[in-house]
Amino acid sequence: MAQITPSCVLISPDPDTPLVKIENASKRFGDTTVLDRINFSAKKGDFVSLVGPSGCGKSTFLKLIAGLHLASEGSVTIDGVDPKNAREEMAFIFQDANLLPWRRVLSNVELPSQLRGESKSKRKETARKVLELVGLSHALRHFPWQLSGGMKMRVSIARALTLSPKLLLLDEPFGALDEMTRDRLNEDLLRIKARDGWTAFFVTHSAAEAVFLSNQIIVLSAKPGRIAEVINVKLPTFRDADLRETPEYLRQVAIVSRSIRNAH
Amino acid sequence: MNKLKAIFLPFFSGVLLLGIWYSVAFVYAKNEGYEVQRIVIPFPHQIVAALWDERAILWIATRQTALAALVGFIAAVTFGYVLSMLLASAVWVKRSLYPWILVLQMTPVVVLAPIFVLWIGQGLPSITAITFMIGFFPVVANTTMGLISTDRNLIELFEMSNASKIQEIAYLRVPYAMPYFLTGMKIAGTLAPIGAIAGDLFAGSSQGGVGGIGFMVILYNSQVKVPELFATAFVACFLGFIFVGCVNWLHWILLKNWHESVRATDIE
Repeated sequence: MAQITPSCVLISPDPDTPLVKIENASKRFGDTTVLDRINFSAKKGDFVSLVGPSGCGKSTFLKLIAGLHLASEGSVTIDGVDPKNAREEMAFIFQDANLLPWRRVLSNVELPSQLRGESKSKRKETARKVLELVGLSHALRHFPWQLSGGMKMRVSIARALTLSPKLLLLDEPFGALDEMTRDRLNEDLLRIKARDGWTAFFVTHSAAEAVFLSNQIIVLSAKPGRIAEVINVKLPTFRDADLRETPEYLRQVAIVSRSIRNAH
Repeated sequence: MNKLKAIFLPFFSGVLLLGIWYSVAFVYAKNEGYEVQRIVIPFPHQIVAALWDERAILWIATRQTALAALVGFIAAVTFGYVLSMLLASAVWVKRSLYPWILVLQMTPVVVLAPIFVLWIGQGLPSITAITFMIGFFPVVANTTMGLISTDRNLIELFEMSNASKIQEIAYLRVPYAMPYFLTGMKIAGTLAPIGAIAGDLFAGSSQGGVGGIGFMVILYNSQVKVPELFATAFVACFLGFIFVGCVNWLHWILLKNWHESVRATDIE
């Protein structure tokens, strides 16, 4: 990842411009209420993690923002408009890398710009650029099955970045990876964020991961999913791998872990 | 070592089978006489001789059957694919059409054969129609399954990219369904020569001198030319191998880069 500078990271939410606004949103599937009266708004540049016991509706929360689910009540807006009309502004990163197995890495990353109808040369150029950003320039001609789990995830991230989104929605992207790979990808994610400045919603099971990445953490309680607590992460805005060894970091992780336990 | 085994073992078992065949035929000949043996269990060399003697006529018959099988197969695959697209396009289309496709499939083709002859006449048209009837259902069933079982997450990925319905079909559903389609095609390919021969049994004619393989079966049978009958079986088997071989090759070409079914054998 030597090609990305700076090595330290600045998280800088812009306090005056809410990008994602969720007002009194509920989601029901049949008789089951998955999310109950959610109110939250995220500013431009925020990195918001969603944590909570399994089955608390974290993924549903994310899909409401993506417009893949519609709120049964209440409203969700992105930059003031309906999520379905704001798709050009956002990208979704799925639980597994979700690559098309019949396409090589380069052409997988080209997909979003291809679907938008961009010229072949332009989309190849963008795809090359983002693949370089995630450190996969050497694997352009590989098929997904030839990649490790971590590499597949990098391809998935690259694909999400091709259209320079303002809002990145990540649905437990690193859940299946080993800890070392996950840590590396977390650091890389922050580096790229420092460069591009997007806003992110990040679903995870790991309190440590949430603390490392976020400036805000939403703790959801289960059945029905409600916001139990919103934790502001009191850590410096400059973050790198060394942060994980500081006592403040460990204290924050303990706070979040306790909050998740209480949310049961 | 393994390669040697792969060649040696089938060869050895083949020789063994030939030996058993010869012994049974020989014992039979000792009891019933060589004349009877020839028309019940001919010696393998008698079959080879029959194949050689009848080569001209069998060659023409094989070409006729191959043509009917090929045309029927291509029609089954093409029509089957288009029908699958239609079935997968909307739930109401599938609900209204699929039961009737099943009804058609459940009706044995041999029962329909005389009706085909009545409608479109003896010979190639009817034989092709019978081959088509046998082959199209596996293509429809498999391809439809592939088209409608496309990974939910991938569909959401396309939705997030504001993909049009056409783009979703072209870039996602069609390639996703490809292995399913090819499976259906493999089954259709196995059935096509069988269908063409069965069709020939019912609708075959000797217009222009000779009929297809099925017609030759009837002819040799009525003339008690048993070694020739075995020779015909050999030719039919050969035709089947060519068909299945071609379809398997296509399967390999289209999927070798990415699909488990062909990749697994390729890795080491």
